[in-house]
Amino acid sequence: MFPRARKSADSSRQSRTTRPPASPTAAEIKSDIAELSDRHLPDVDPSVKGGCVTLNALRAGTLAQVAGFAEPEHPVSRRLFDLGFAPGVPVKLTRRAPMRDPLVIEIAGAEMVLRGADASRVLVSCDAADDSSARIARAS
Amino acid sequence: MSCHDSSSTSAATLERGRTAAPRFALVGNPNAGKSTVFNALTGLRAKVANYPGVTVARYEGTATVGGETVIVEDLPGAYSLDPLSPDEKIVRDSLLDEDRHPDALIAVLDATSLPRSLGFLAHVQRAQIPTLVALTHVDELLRRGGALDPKALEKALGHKVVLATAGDRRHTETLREAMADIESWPAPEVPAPIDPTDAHAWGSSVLGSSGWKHPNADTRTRRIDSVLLHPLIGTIIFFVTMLAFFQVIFTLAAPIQEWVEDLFAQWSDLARAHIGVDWLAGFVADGLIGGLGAVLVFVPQIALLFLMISLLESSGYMARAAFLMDRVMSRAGLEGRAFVAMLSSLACAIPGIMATRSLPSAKDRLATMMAAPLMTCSARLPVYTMLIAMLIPADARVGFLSLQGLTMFGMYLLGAVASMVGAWGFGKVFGGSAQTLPLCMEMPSYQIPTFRQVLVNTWVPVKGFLSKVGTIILVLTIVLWGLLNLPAVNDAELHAAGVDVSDSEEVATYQLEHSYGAAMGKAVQPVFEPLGFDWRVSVGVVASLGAREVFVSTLGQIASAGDPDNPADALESMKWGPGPHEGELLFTPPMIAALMMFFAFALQCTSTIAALKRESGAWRWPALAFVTFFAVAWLSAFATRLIVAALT
Repeated sequence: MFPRARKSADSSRQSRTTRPPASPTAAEIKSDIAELSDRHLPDVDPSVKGGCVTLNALRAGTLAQVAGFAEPEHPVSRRLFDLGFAPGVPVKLTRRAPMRDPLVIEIAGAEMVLRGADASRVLVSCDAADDSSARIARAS
Repeated sequence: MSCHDSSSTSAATLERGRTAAPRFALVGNPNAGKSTVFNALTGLRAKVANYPGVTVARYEGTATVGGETVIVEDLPGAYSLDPLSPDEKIVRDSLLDEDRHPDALIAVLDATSLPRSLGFLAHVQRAQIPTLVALTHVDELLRRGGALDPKALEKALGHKVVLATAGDRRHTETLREAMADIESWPAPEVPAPIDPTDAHAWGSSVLGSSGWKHPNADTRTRRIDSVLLHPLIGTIIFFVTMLAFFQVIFTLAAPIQEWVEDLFAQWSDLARAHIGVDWLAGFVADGLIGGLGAVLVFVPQIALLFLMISLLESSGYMARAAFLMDRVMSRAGLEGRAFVAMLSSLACAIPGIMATRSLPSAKDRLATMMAAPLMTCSARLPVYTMLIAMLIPADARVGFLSLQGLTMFGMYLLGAVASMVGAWGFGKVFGGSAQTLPLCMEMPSYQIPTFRQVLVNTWVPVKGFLSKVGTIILVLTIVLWGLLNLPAVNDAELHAAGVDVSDSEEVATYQLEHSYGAAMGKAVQPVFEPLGFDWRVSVGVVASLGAREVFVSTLGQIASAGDPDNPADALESMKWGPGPHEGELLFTPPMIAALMMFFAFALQCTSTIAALKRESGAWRWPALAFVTFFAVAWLSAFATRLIVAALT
């Protein structure tokens, strides 16, 4: 995998790194990274779709699980995925600001501040507690 | 063509004979602790500059690794290489740069939010640069009931993993040792997948085999937040904190500043007493020592400000302040973190401008830094104090509140409103149609700031202020001294004009009236005449373009040339010289009010202009700010003069 082909002039110094079959070029690396912007987020599992609400509609303190995204093709949805909002992950709306916006969301071990408009892109389901969400429940 | 020679390949070793120092770059999420690792490696040897053409700060420093010097760059925090903000584009472009990409990466991953950090690592792997994982906040993970086996993580990831707990010197040593031997860094055989479903599965499997246990909620933070973020109590505490912040800057810094001023006044007197040659004495006393004093007088306030901001930031409270203010700030098209920048501007626009670095949106950064000078900074205080004293009698009251005090508060309020409106206006002009970045700000756990953190976060900006901006104030004060004291009048000239050579005030007045500065003042007087300013006030205004306080001392010089014992009276009774207004009183209420409005809006600070240029990367932004604010200042001063004249 490492190092990059165009820069490694001396192959004898790479004795301890794994040798890939063919080192990638700069153009390939560039397109590898560009692919990140073409990712497709998974659709919502049809079996849970009915019981879903948007994240900003949750009552403060309720435990839920991320089910999917309202607009999976939108760049902000991809950003939310990169922030940790993946299907099955436990999520909680901890509190709202004094004027109802923005929101504090607990996800993947961290507290994030999101605006209601952005949080509304995330669909969550309130049923089905599993081990991880039960752990959160015990902690709070 | 690449200018790298073959010895600085990505599998760089530290053999002798290699020419270019290896470049390491720190990558990771914002708040992962990259700066802490960066500071631990580079100490106080970091330099701050700008990435070319953009308003993004670039942190680069050197470290000693294996007996050699290496370059360490702290890339901006990023959640993804699918970039949304200019900062993230910089990270992506740095990694993709064919010729100048880093030789090795240190991926700083926060152990408490490892699922998300792993996702970013998967992105970074695609850049195909040797990567080492530095784990931060493991102590917090364990404290909160989580778990992790770093060795198992190493095995599961295929990257070398070192711990990097803040403040732990041994960890920094281990990191340095690892950096000395990039060759030994393993690489995963197969890069992590990025397709969302696969990526999530990969992440879960890595977390599972490394024994990662989800940390419980930080109960200490939770409890504190239930008070500090309570809709009512939290808001009250917030305003009290801001008030205290404000107060400390003024009351604590003031005595230190007075002390510095006194010290320099003493030295100035010494110089005058011991230097025989008159003009040289003047130059050393007023030009050099006065100039240095003008620079150093800012330092206590700025240092104190950075100290308080550093404390608020490192403890975690700043994120809460931004959270509480976000809704209000979004009315001006900004976000909560812009509030912090504006707050800093209350003491001086320069730290406020530098504080805009925390805003991920380039549009927000530029709009906020352009509007920061509209906030009432401490330089306006002496001017307002002097003018309010002339305008309003000391005993005037509204209810039980002093009218003078109310007026001062009103000026501060005007500054706050003006900067919000200004930020909104600039935002519209710069990127009205651009998609607003989604706000995603982390609320870190509350921490007790470490002494070292606070020291570094205070010293580095102060150092920057002293070296770059300080040279400008120094040069300017010297230039102004020259303008007001040259061409030097000689005895023959004085005799011919009928001036008593032994009367030093008369000489001073004559010198002033025949200086280049006076010529300038008379030349620009037409611009200011509609506002009610004569050439002397015009000289003061032009002089204060460098620094606002200069207005007070210029008028003081002019007034004491006329009446050295009672300069205040001299000002109040000052009359227009020859011309259409001859004999009229100069400082009338409409004129004073106009003067105050002028100072409220005009950009009169070359230090701020320099800071704007530095942070925005181009001269056109400070130029735009200068021209816009001058126009607004002139128009509002004119309108104010008319209104007050009609009312009195």
